[in-house]
Amino acid sequence: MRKLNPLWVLIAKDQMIKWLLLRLCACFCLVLTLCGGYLAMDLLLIPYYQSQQSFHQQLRLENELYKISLNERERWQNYEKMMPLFGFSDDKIKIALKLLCKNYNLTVLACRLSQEEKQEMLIKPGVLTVTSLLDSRIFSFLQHLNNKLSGVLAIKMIKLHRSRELTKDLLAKIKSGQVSDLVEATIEFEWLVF
Amino acid sequence: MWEKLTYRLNTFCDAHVLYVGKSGLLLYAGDGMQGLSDNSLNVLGKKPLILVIETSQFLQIDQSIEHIDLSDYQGEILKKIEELPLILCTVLFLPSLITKTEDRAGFSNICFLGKNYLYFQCKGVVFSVECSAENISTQIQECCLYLKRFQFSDADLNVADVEKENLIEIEIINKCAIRSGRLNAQLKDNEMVSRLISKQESGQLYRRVVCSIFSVIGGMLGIAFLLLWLNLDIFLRNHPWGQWVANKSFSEEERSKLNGFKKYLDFEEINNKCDLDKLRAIFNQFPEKIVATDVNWGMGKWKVALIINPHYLHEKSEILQWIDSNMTNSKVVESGVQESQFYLEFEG
Repeated sequence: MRKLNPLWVLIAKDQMIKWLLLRLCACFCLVLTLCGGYLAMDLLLIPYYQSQQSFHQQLRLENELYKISLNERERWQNYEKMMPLFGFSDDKIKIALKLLCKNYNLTVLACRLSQEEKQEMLIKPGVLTVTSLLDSRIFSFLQHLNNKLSGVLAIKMIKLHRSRELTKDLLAKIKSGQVSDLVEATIEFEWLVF
Repeated sequence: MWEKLTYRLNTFCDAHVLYVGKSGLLLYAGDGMQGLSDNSLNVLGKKPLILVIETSQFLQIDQSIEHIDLSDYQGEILKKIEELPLILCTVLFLPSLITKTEDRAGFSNICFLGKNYLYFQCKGVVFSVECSAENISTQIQECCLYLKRFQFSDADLNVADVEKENLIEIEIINKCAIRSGRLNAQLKDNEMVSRLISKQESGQLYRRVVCSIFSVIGGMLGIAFLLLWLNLDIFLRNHPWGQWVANKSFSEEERSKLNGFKKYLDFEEINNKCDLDKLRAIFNQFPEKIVATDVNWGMGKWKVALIINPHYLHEKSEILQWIDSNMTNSKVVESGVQESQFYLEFEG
Protein backbone atom coordinates (compact mmCIF):
# COMPACT_ATOMS: atom_id res chain seq x y z
CA MET A 1 0.00 0.00 0.00
CA ARG A 2 1.06 3.58 -0.66
CA LYS A 3 2.23 5.57 2.31
CA LEU A 4 1.31 9.21 2.55
CA ASN A 5 3.46 11.64 4.47
CA PRO A 6 1.47 13.02 7.39
CA LEU A 7 0.48 16.67 7.11
CA TRP A 8 2.76 17.82 9.90
CA VAL A 9 5.76 16.30 8.13
CA LEU A 10 4.88 18.20 4.98
CA ILE A 11 4.47 21.39 6.94
CA ALA A 12 7.70 20.94 8.86
CA LYS A 13 9.63 20.10 5.71
CA ASP A 14 8.65 23.12 3.76
CA GLN A 15 9.85 26.61 4.54
CA MET A 16 6.99 28.15 2.63
CA ILE A 17 4.45 26.69 4.99
CA LYS A 18 6.44 28.16 7.86
CA TRP A 19 6.51 31.48 6.06
CA LEU A 20 2.78 31.29 5.45
CA LEU A 21 2.11 30.37 9.05
CA LEU A 22 4.18 33.37 10.10
CA ARG A 23 2.06 35.57 7.84
CA LEU A 24 -1.06 33.96 9.21
CA CYS A 25 0.06 34.87 12.72
CA ALA A 26 0.90 38.40 11.52
CA CYS A 27 -2.57 38.70 9.97
CA PHE A 28 -4.15 37.39 13.16
CA CYS A 29 -2.20 39.97 15.16
CA LEU A 30 -3.28 42.67 12.68
CA VAL A 31 -6.92 41.65 13.05
CA LEU A 32 -6.56 41.62 16.83
CA THR A 33 -4.88 45.03 16.76
CA LEU A 34 -7.61 46.47 14.58
CA CYS A 35 -10.26 44.89 16.82
CA GLY A 36 -8.54 46.55 19.75
CA GLY A 37 -8.38 49.76 17.75
CA TYR A 38 -12.08 49.54 17.00
CA LEU A 39 -12.92 49.00 20.66
CA ALA A 40 -10.56 51.79 21.68
CA MET A 41 -12.24 54.11 19.16
CA ASP A 42 -15.65 53.11 20.39
CA LEU A 43 -14.94 53.24 24.11
CA LEU A 44 -12.29 55.92 24.45
CA LEU A 45 -11.96 58.11 21.39
CA ILE A 46 -15.67 58.84 20.83
CA PRO A 47 -16.28 59.95 24.44
CA TYR A 48 -13.09 62.01 24.20
CA TYR A 49 -14.26 63.64 20.97
CA GLN A 50 -17.67 64.28 22.51
CA SER A 51 -16.09 65.97 25.52
CA GLN A 52 -13.89 67.99 23.15
CA GLN A 53 -16.96 68.89 21.16
CA SER A 54 -18.84 70.18 24.21
CA PHE A 55 -15.72 72.05 25.34
CA HIS A 56 -15.37 73.72 21.94
CA GLN A 57 -19.09 74.45 21.79
CA GLN A 58 -18.77 76.21 25.12
CA LEU A 59 -15.72 78.09 23.86
CA ARG A 60 -17.54 79.10 20.69
CA LEU A 61 -20.50 80.31 22.73
CA GLU A 62 -18.22 82.37 24.94
CA ASN A 63 -16.61 83.88 21.86
CA GLU A 64 -20.00 84.75 20.43
CA LEU A 65 -20.97 86.38 23.71
CA TYR A 66 -17.73 88.27 23.67
CA LYS A 67 -18.58 89.56 20.17
CA ILE A 68 -22.05 90.59 21.37
CA SER A 69 -20.49 92.43 24.29
CA LEU A 70 -18.29 94.31 21.82
CA ASN A 71 -21.11 95.06 19.39
CA GLU A 72 -23.68 96.06 22.00
CA ARG A 73 -21.62 98.17 24.33
CA GLU A 74 -24.62 99.75 26.02
CA ARG A 75 -26.14 96.41 27.07
CA TRP A 76 -22.80 95.15 28.24
CA GLN A 77 -22.27 98.30 30.28
CA ASN A 78 -25.75 97.94 31.79
CA TYR A 79 -24.96 94.35 32.64
CA GLU A 80 -21.64 95.31 34.20
CA LYS A 81 -23.37 98.04 36.17
CA MET A 82 -25.98 95.60 37.46
CA MET A 83 -23.62 92.73 38.20
CA PRO A 84 -23.73 93.20 42.00
CA LEU A 85 -27.54 92.89 41.90
CA PHE A 86 -27.36 89.30 40.62
CA GLY A 87 -25.76 88.21 43.86
CA PHE A 88 -28.36 89.79 46.12
CA SER A 89 -29.78 87.73 48.95
CA ASP A 90 -33.51 87.76 49.81
CA ASP A 91 -32.97 90.37 52.49
CA LYS A 92 -30.97 92.61 50.22
CA ILE A 93 -33.65 92.40 47.52
CA LYS A 94 -36.34 93.33 50.04
CA ILE A 95 -34.27 96.26 51.36
CA ALA A 96 -33.55 97.49 47.81
CA LEU A 97 -37.22 97.39 46.86
CA LYS A 98 -38.29 99.12 50.06
CA LEU A 99 -35.74 101.89 49.52
CA LEU A 100 -36.96 102.30 45.98
CA CYS A 101 -40.58 102.46 47.14
CA LYS A 102 -39.59 105.12 49.67
CA ASN A 103 -38.12 107.19 46.83
CA TYR A 104 -41.47 107.13 45.07
CA ASN A 105 -43.49 107.75 48.25
CA LEU A 106 -44.99 104.29 48.28
CA THR A 107 -45.87 102.33 51.35
CA VAL A 108 -44.79 98.72 51.29
CA LEU A 109 -47.45 96.47 52.76
CA ALA A 110 -45.79 93.15 51.99
CA CYS A 111 -42.82 91.72 50.19
CA ARG A 112 -42.42 87.94 49.80
CA LEU A 113 -39.71 86.00 47.96
CA SER A 114 -39.20 82.37 47.06
CA GLN A 115 -36.70 80.52 44.87
CA GLU A 116 -36.95 78.28 41.80
CA GLU A 117 -34.99 77.16 38.74
CA LYS A 118 -36.41 78.10 35.34
CA GLN A 119 -34.82 77.34 31.96
CA GLU A 120 -31.42 76.63 33.54
CA MET A 121 -31.59 79.95 35.39
CA LEU A 122 -31.91 80.47 39.10
CA ILE A 123 -34.64 83.01 39.76
CA LYS A 124 -36.40 84.38 42.81
CA PRO A 125 -40.11 84.98 42.25
CA GLY A 126 -41.59 87.59 44.54
CA VAL A 127 -44.76 89.51 45.33
CA LEU A 128 -44.69 93.14 46.38
CA THR A 129 -47.76 94.93 47.71
CA VAL A 130 -47.64 98.71 47.87
CA THR A 131 -50.08 101.53 48.50
CA SER A 132 -50.00 105.15 47.46
CA LEU A 133 -52.10 108.28 47.37
CA LEU A 134 -51.72 108.64 43.61
CA ASP A 135 -51.62 105.94 40.97
CA SER A 136 -49.09 108.03 39.01
CA ARG A 137 -46.52 107.34 41.73
CA ILE A 138 -47.04 103.64 41.31
CA PHE A 139 -46.72 103.97 37.54
CA SER A 140 -43.48 105.88 38.01
CA PHE A 141 -42.21 103.18 40.31
CA LEU A 142 -43.14 100.52 37.73
CA GLN A 143 -41.46 102.59 35.02
CA HIS A 144 -38.30 102.62 37.10
CA LEU A 145 -38.40 98.85 37.56
CA ASN A 146 -38.98 98.43 33.83
CA ASN A 147 -36.21 100.71 32.66
CA LYS A 148 -33.51 100.60 35.28
CA LEU A 149 -33.72 97.02 36.47
CA SER A 150 -34.42 95.32 33.16
CA GLY A 151 -32.41 92.06 32.94
CA VAL A 152 -32.40 91.64 36.72
CA LEU A 153 -36.04 92.08 37.56
CA ALA A 154 -38.94 91.12 35.32
CA ILE A 155 -42.51 92.15 36.10
CA LYS A 156 -44.84 89.21 35.60
CA MET A 157 -48.16 90.70 36.74
CA ILE A 158 -49.60 94.01 37.97
CA LYS A 159 -52.89 94.47 39.83
CA LEU A 160 -53.79 98.04 40.68
CA HIS A 161 -57.03 99.18 42.20
CA ARG A 162 -58.52 101.91 44.35
CA SER A 163 -58.50 100.81 47.94
CA ARG A 164 -61.26 103.13 49.13
CA GLU A 165 -64.53 104.54 47.79
CA LEU A 166 -64.39 108.26 47.03
CA THR A 167 -66.94 109.81 49.31
CA LYS A 168 -67.45 113.41 50.29
CA ASP A 169 -65.93 112.75 53.70
CA LEU A 170 -62.91 111.11 52.15
CA LEU A 171 -62.46 114.00 49.71
CA ALA A 172 -62.64 116.40 52.63
CA LYS A 173 -60.01 114.41 54.48
CA ILE A 174 -57.78 114.37 51.39
CA LYS A 175 -58.04 118.13 51.11
CA SER A 176 -57.09 118.48 54.77
CA GLY A 177 -54.13 116.12 54.21
CA GLN A 178 -55.31 113.45 56.62
CA VAL A 179 -55.55 110.57 54.12
CA SER A 180 -52.36 109.03 52.89
CA ASP A 181 -53.15 106.15 50.53
CA LEU A 182 -55.95 105.58 48.05
CA VAL A 183 -54.46 103.13 45.55
CA GLU A 184 -53.12 99.65 46.18
CA ALA A 185 -50.92 97.68 43.77
CA THR A 186 -49.78 94.09 43.83
CA ILE A 187 -46.74 93.41 41.68
CA GLU A 188 -45.54 89.91 40.89
CA PHE A 189 -41.95 89.83 39.72
CA GLU A 190 -38.91 87.60 39.18
CA TRP A 191 -35.35 88.43 40.25
CA LEU A 192 -32.46 86.76 38.46
CA VAL A 193 -29.63 85.45 40.60
CA PHE A 194 -26.38 83.62 39.77
CA MET B 1 11.91 36.55 1.18
CA TRP B 2 9.81 38.03 -1.60
CA GLU B 3 11.99 36.34 -4.17
CA LYS B 4 11.36 33.04 -2.44
CA LEU B 5 7.65 33.66 -2.31
CA THR B 6 7.57 34.59 -5.99
CA TYR B 7 9.38 31.38 -6.79
CA ARG B 8 7.01 29.35 -4.64
CA LEU B 9 3.99 30.93 -6.22
CA ASN B 10 5.43 30.23 -9.65
CA THR B 11 5.46 26.56 -8.82
CA PHE B 12 1.68 26.67 -8.93
CA CYS B 13 1.37 28.10 -12.38
CA ASP B 14 4.41 26.80 -14.29
CA ALA B 15 5.89 23.29 -14.55
CA HIS B 16 8.69 21.23 -16.08
CA VAL B 17 7.89 18.13 -18.12
CA LEU B 18 10.11 15.07 -17.88
CA TYR B 19 9.58 12.64 -20.73
CA VAL B 20 10.68 9.03 -20.14
CA GLY B 21 10.86 7.16 -23.46
CA LYS B 22 12.91 4.97 -25.75
CA SER B 23 15.01 7.88 -26.83
CA GLY B 24 16.12 8.45 -23.23
CA LEU B 25 15.10 11.14 -20.77
CA LEU B 26 14.00 14.45 -22.17
CA LEU B 27 13.29 17.56 -20.17
CA TYR B 28 10.94 20.25 -21.39
CA ALA B 29 11.79 23.37 -19.38
CA GLY B 30 9.95 25.97 -21.37
CA ASP B 31 12.58 26.37 -24.08
CA GLY B 32 12.29 23.12 -26.04
CA MET B 33 13.15 19.51 -25.29
CA GLN B 34 16.66 18.71 -24.15
CA GLY B 35 18.45 15.62 -22.93
CA LEU B 36 18.61 15.21 -19.18
CA SER B 37 22.06 15.26 -17.67
CA ASP B 38 23.13 15.08 -14.03
CA ASN B 39 23.47 18.86 -14.02
CA SER B 40 19.92 19.28 -15.23
CA LEU B 41 18.67 17.42 -12.18
CA ASN B 42 19.37 20.56 -10.15
CA VAL B 43 16.84 22.36 -12.35
CA LEU B 44 14.14 19.86 -11.45
CA GLY B 45 13.66 20.96 -7.85
CA LYS B 46 12.77 24.50 -8.83
CA LYS B 47 9.42 23.86 -10.43
CA PRO B 48 6.70 21.25 -10.16
CA LEU B 49 7.09 18.36 -12.50
CA ILE B 50 4.84 16.54 -14.91
CA LEU B 51 6.22 13.07 -15.46
CA VAL B 52 5.40 11.42 -18.78
CA ILE B 53 6.19 7.74 -19.21
CA GLU B 54 6.13 6.75 -22.84
CA THR B 55 4.43 3.80 -24.53
CA SER B 56 7.55 1.88 -25.29
CA GLN B 57 8.44 1.60 -21.63
CA PHE B 58 5.57 -0.76 -20.98
CA LEU B 59 6.10 -4.42 -21.57
CA GLN B 60 3.06 -5.98 -23.13
CA ILE B 61 1.93 -9.56 -23.04
CA ASP B 62 -1.21 -10.57 -24.99
CA GLN B 63 -1.78 -6.90 -25.76
CA SER B 64 -2.05 -5.95 -22.10
CA ILE B 65 0.28 -3.97 -19.88
CA GLU B 66 2.56 -6.09 -17.74
CA HIS B 67 4.99 -3.68 -16.11
CA ILE B 68 7.12 -0.65 -16.74
CA ASP B 69 10.47 -1.55 -18.13
CA LEU B 70 13.09 1.02 -17.26
CA SER B 71 16.79 1.11 -17.96
CA ASP B 72 19.09 1.40 -14.93
CA TYR B 73 19.68 5.09 -15.66
CA GLN B 74 15.96 5.77 -16.03
CA GLY B 75 15.27 3.92 -12.79
CA GLU B 76 18.00 5.89 -11.07
CA ILE B 77 16.56 9.21 -12.27
CA LEU B 78 13.04 8.26 -11.18
CA LYS B 79 14.42 7.28 -7.78
CA LYS B 80 16.13 10.68 -7.55
CA ILE B 81 12.87 12.36 -8.49
CA GLU B 82 11.24 10.58 -5.59
CA GLU B 83 13.92 11.96 -3.28
CA LEU B 84 13.93 15.52 -4.64
CA PRO B 85 11.83 18.07 -2.72
CA LEU B 86 9.81 18.86 -5.80
CA ILE B 87 6.09 18.86 -6.32
CA LEU B 88 5.06 16.11 -8.65
CA CYS B 89 2.12 17.61 -10.43
CA THR B 90 0.92 14.63 -12.35
CA VAL B 91 2.11 11.35 -13.89
CA LEU B 92 1.11 10.68 -17.45
CA PHE B 93 1.25 7.09 -18.64
CA LEU B 94 1.14 6.72 -22.36
CA PRO B 95 0.53 3.09 -23.24
CA SER B 96 -0.06 2.25 -26.93
CA LEU B 97 -2.31 -0.71 -26.40
CA ILE B 98 -5.18 0.94 -28.11
CA THR B 99 -4.99 1.35 -31.83
CA LYS B 100 -8.23 3.12 -32.53
CA THR B 101 -10.71 5.04 -30.42
CA GLU B 102 -13.31 7.76 -30.57
CA ASP B 103 -14.43 10.51 -28.17
CA ARG B 104 -16.74 9.24 -25.43
CA ALA B 105 -18.32 10.73 -22.37
CA GLY B 106 -15.91 10.81 -19.43
CA PHE B 107 -12.89 10.83 -21.73
CA SER B 108 -11.29 13.87 -23.27
CA ASN B 109 -8.88 14.56 -26.07
CA ILE B 110 -5.60 16.22 -25.19
CA CYS B 111 -2.73 17.24 -27.40
CA PHE B 112 0.76 16.66 -26.08
CA LEU B 113 3.95 17.00 -28.08
CA GLY B 114 2.05 16.95 -31.33
CA LYS B 115 0.06 13.78 -30.60
CA ASN B 116 -3.57 13.38 -29.59
CA TYR B 117 -4.36 11.38 -26.49
CA LEU B 118 -7.53 10.09 -24.94
CA TYR B 119 -7.28 10.63 -21.20
CA PHE B 120 -9.19 10.35 -17.99
CA GLN B 121 -8.37 11.09 -14.41
CA CYS B 122 -8.51 8.78 -11.45
CA LYS B 123 -7.37 9.54 -7.90
CA GLY B 124 -5.51 12.56 -9.16
CA VAL B 125 -3.43 10.55 -11.66
CA VAL B 126 -4.01 11.20 -15.30
CA PHE B 127 -4.07 8.20 -17.57
CA SER B 128 -3.71 8.76 -21.26
CA VAL B 129 -3.72 6.64 -24.35
CA GLU B 130 -3.05 7.60 -27.90
CA CYS B 131 -6.26 8.32 -29.68
CA SER B 132 -7.62 5.80 -32.16
CA ALA B 133 -11.10 5.33 -33.47
CA GLU B 134 -11.49 1.52 -33.42
CA ASN B 135 -12.20 -1.10 -30.81
CA ILE B 136 -13.26 1.35 -28.13
CA SER B 137 -14.69 -1.33 -25.83
CA THR B 138 -11.37 -3.11 -25.63
CA GLN B 139 -9.60 0.17 -25.07
CA ILE B 140 -11.76 1.11 -22.11
CA GLN B 141 -11.61 -2.43 -20.76
CA GLU B 142 -7.86 -2.31 -20.92
CA CYS B 143 -7.85 1.01 -19.12
CA CYS B 144 -10.01 -0.42 -16.35
CA LEU B 145 -7.78 -3.44 -16.01
CA TYR B 146 -4.76 -1.18 -15.95
CA LEU B 147 -6.26 0.81 -13.11
CA LYS B 148 -7.09 -2.36 -11.22
CA ARG B 149 -3.53 -3.43 -11.52
CA PHE B 150 -2.39 -0.37 -9.69
CA GLN B 151 -4.98 -0.90 -6.99
CA PHE B 152 -7.43 1.85 -7.86
CA SER B 153 -10.81 0.85 -6.52
CA ASP B 154 -13.87 0.29 -8.70
CA ALA B 155 -15.52 3.27 -7.08
CA ASP B 156 -13.07 5.58 -8.80
CA LEU B 157 -14.10 4.37 -12.21
CA ASN B 158 -17.00 5.85 -14.02
CA VAL B 159 -19.03 2.64 -14.07
CA ALA B 160 -21.85 4.30 -15.96
CA ASP B 161 -19.49 5.05 -18.81
CA VAL B 162 -18.16 1.54 -18.74
CA GLU B 163 -21.64 0.04 -18.82
CA LYS B 164 -22.50 2.17 -21.78
CA GLU B 165 -19.88 0.27 -23.65
CA ASN B 166 -21.72 -3.01 -22.82
CA LEU B 167 -18.99 -4.24 -20.56
CA ILE B 168 -19.87 -6.61 -17.79
CA GLU B 169 -18.29 -5.47 -14.59
CA ILE B 170 -17.78 -8.99 -13.24
CA GLU B 171 -15.91 -9.83 -16.38
CA ILE B 172 -13.49 -6.97 -15.76
CA ILE B 173 -13.00 -8.02 -12.17
CA ASN B 174 -12.34 -11.61 -13.17
CA LYS B 175 -9.82 -10.61 -15.80
CA CYS B 176 -8.22 -8.28 -13.35
CA ALA B 177 -7.93 -11.01 -10.76
CA ILE B 178 -6.21 -13.30 -13.23
CA ARG B 179 -3.77 -10.63 -14.31
CA SER B 180 -3.13 -9.34 -10.81
CA GLY B 181 -2.19 -12.84 -9.72
CA ARG B 182 0.20 -13.13 -12.57
CA LEU B 183 1.62 -9.66 -12.14
CA ASN B 184 2.05 -9.71 -8.40
CA ALA B 185 4.66 -12.39 -8.70
CA GLN B 186 6.94 -10.44 -10.96
CA LEU B 187 6.09 -6.77 -10.47
CA LYS B 188 8.99 -4.67 -9.35
CA ASP B 189 7.70 -1.41 -10.75
CA ASN B 190 4.38 -1.55 -8.89
CA GLU B 191 5.98 -0.12 -5.78
CA MET B 192 7.74 2.57 -7.72
CA VAL B 193 4.51 3.67 -9.38
CA SER B 194 2.83 3.67 -5.99
CA ARG B 195 5.59 5.83 -4.61
CA LEU B 196 5.30 8.25 -7.52
CA ILE B 197 1.56 8.43 -7.01
CA SER B 198 2.10 8.93 -3.30
CA LYS B 199 4.52 11.77 -4.04
CA GLN B 200 2.07 13.30 -6.41
CA GLU B 201 -0.69 13.07 -3.84
CA SER B 202 1.49 14.65 -1.18
CA GLY B 203 2.17 17.45 -3.68
CA GLN B 204 -1.54 17.91 -4.09
CA LEU B 205 -2.01 17.87 -0.33
CA TYR B 206 0.75 20.45 -0.06
CA ARG B 207 -1.04 22.64 -2.57
CA ARG B 208 -4.31 22.23 -0.74
CA VAL B 209 -2.69 23.20 2.56
CA VAL B 210 -0.99 26.21 1.01
CA CYS B 211 -4.21 27.28 -0.73
CA SER B 212 -6.15 26.88 2.52
CA ILE B 213 -3.63 29.00 4.40
CA PHE B 214 -3.75 31.58 1.62
CA SER B 215 -7.54 31.58 1.88
CA VAL B 216 -7.39 32.05 5.66
CA ILE B 217 -4.83 34.86 5.24
CA GLY B 218 -7.06 36.40 2.57
CA GLY B 219 -10.08 36.13 4.85
CA MET B 220 -8.18 37.66 7.74
CA LEU B 221 -6.92 40.46 5.54
CA GLY B 222 -10.53 41.01 4.47
CA ILE B 223 -11.62 41.25 8.11
CA ALA B 224 -8.62 43.49 8.80
CA PHE B 225 -9.63 45.84 5.97
CA LEU B 226 -13.21 45.84 7.22
CA LEU B 227 -12.07 46.72 10.73
CA LEU B 228 -9.70 49.32 9.33
CA TRP B 229 -12.59 50.83 7.40
CA LEU B 230 -14.80 50.81 10.51
CA ASN B 231 -12.02 52.52 12.45
CA LEU B 232 -11.60 55.11 9.72
CA ASP B 233 -15.35 55.55 9.53
CA ILE B 234 -15.63 56.14 13.28
CA PHE B 235 -12.68 58.52 13.15
CA LEU B 236 -14.08 60.50 10.21
CA ARG B 237 -17.59 60.62 11.63
CA ASN B 238 -16.64 61.66 15.12
CA HIS B 239 -13.52 63.74 14.73
CA PRO B 240 -14.43 67.31 15.55
CA TRP B 241 -12.75 68.75 12.44
CA GLY B 242 -14.54 72.07 12.59
CA GLN B 243 -13.86 72.49 16.27
CA TRP B 244 -10.16 73.15 15.94
CA VAL B 245 -10.76 76.69 14.72
CA ALA B 246 -8.76 78.95 16.97
CA ASN B 247 -11.19 80.46 19.44
CA LYS B 248 -10.14 82.91 22.04
CA SER B 249 -10.02 81.26 25.43
CA PHE B 250 -10.90 83.22 28.51
CA SER B 251 -9.88 83.23 32.13
CA GLU B 252 -12.22 81.70 34.70
CA GLU B 253 -13.41 85.12 35.80
CA GLU B 254 -14.10 86.27 32.22
CA ARG B 255 -15.93 83.05 31.45
CA SER B 256 -18.16 83.40 34.48
CA LYS B 257 -18.85 87.03 33.52
CA LEU B 258 -19.72 86.04 29.93
CA ASN B 259 -21.97 83.18 31.11
CA GLY B 260 -23.73 85.65 33.38
CA PHE B 261 -24.14 87.97 30.40
CA LYS B 262 -25.83 85.13 28.50
CA LYS B 263 -28.26 84.60 31.40
CA TYR B 264 -28.88 88.34 31.53
CA LEU B 265 -29.67 88.41 27.79
CA ASP B 266 -31.84 85.27 27.98
CA PHE B 267 -33.74 86.63 30.97
CA GLU B 268 -34.41 89.88 29.16
CA GLU B 269 -35.50 88.01 26.05
CA ILE B 270 -37.97 85.62 27.66
CA ASN B 271 -39.76 88.25 29.72
CA ASN B 272 -42.22 90.72 28.19
CA LYS B 273 -41.94 94.27 29.40
CA CYS B 274 -45.15 96.05 30.27
CA ASP B 275 -45.63 99.15 28.14
CA LEU B 276 -46.63 101.79 30.70
CA ASP B 277 -46.36 104.58 28.13
CA LYS B 278 -49.41 103.27 26.30
CA LEU B 279 -51.49 103.35 29.46
CA ARG B 280 -50.22 106.79 30.37
CA ALA B 281 -50.99 108.00 26.85
CA ILE B 282 -54.75 107.63 27.50
CA PHE B 283 -54.63 109.71 30.66
CA ASN B 284 -52.36 112.29 29.03
CA GLN B 285 -54.70 112.51 26.03
CA PHE B 286 -57.81 113.01 28.16
CA PRO B 287 -56.67 114.67 31.43
CA GLU B 288 -59.39 114.89 34.09
CA LYS B 289 -61.87 113.38 31.66
CA ILE B 290 -61.06 109.76 32.36
CA VAL B 291 -60.15 107.84 35.54
CA ALA B 292 -58.94 104.25 35.99
CA THR B 293 -60.51 102.34 38.85
CA ASP B 294 -58.87 98.99 38.28
CA VAL B 295 -55.70 98.19 36.30
CA ASN B 296 -54.37 94.67 35.55
CA TRP B 297 -51.40 93.61 33.48
CA GLY B 298 -50.17 90.12 32.70
CA MET B 299 -48.84 88.12 29.71
CA GLY B 300 -48.41 91.34 27.67
CA LYS B 301 -52.00 92.43 28.00
CA TRP B 302 -53.57 95.38 29.84
CA LYS B 303 -57.09 95.17 31.27
CA VAL B 304 -58.32 98.52 32.59
CA ALA B 305 -61.64 99.53 34.13
CA LEU B 306 -62.30 103.19 33.21
CA ILE B 307 -64.84 105.81 34.22
CA ILE B 308 -65.49 108.91 32.17
CA ASN B 309 -66.07 112.09 34.12
CA PRO B 310 -69.87 112.71 33.92
CA HIS B 311 -69.17 116.27 32.76
CA TYR B 312 -67.42 114.94 29.67
CA LEU B 313 -69.74 112.06 28.91
CA HIS B 314 -70.71 113.64 25.61
CA GLU B 315 -67.10 113.07 24.50
CA LYS B 316 -67.38 109.32 25.03
CA SER B 317 -67.55 108.46 21.32
CA GLU B 318 -64.51 110.65 20.65
CA ILE B 319 -62.59 108.91 23.45
CA LEU B 320 -63.54 105.47 22.18
CA GLN B 321 -62.56 106.38 18.65
CA TRP B 322 -59.16 107.60 19.84
CA ILE B 323 -58.65 104.34 21.76
CA ASP B 324 -59.62 102.29 18.75
CA SER B 325 -57.16 104.03 16.46
CA ASN B 326 -54.23 104.30 18.91
CA MET B 327 -54.25 101.08 20.94
CA THR B 328 -53.02 97.82 19.42
CA ASN B 329 -55.68 95.09 19.34
CA SER B 330 -57.87 97.09 21.69
CA LYS B 331 -61.27 95.93 22.83
CA VAL B 332 -63.84 98.06 24.65
CA VAL B 333 -66.62 96.45 26.67
CA GLU B 334 -69.43 98.51 28.23
CA SER B 335 -69.99 97.72 31.90
CA GLY B 336 -73.76 97.79 31.53
CA VAL B 337 -74.14 99.34 35.01
CA GLN B 338 -73.28 102.93 34.25
CA GLU B 339 -72.97 104.63 30.89
CA SER B 340 -69.74 106.31 31.98
CA GLN B 341 -68.08 103.03 32.97
CA PHE B 342 -66.40 100.63 30.52
CA TYR B 343 -63.59 98.09 30.33
CA LEU B 344 -60.64 98.37 28.01
CA GLU B 345 -58.28 95.61 26.86
CA PHE B 346 -55.19 96.19 24.75
CA GLU B 347 -51.74 94.73 24.07
CA GLY B 348 -48.73 96.41 25.55
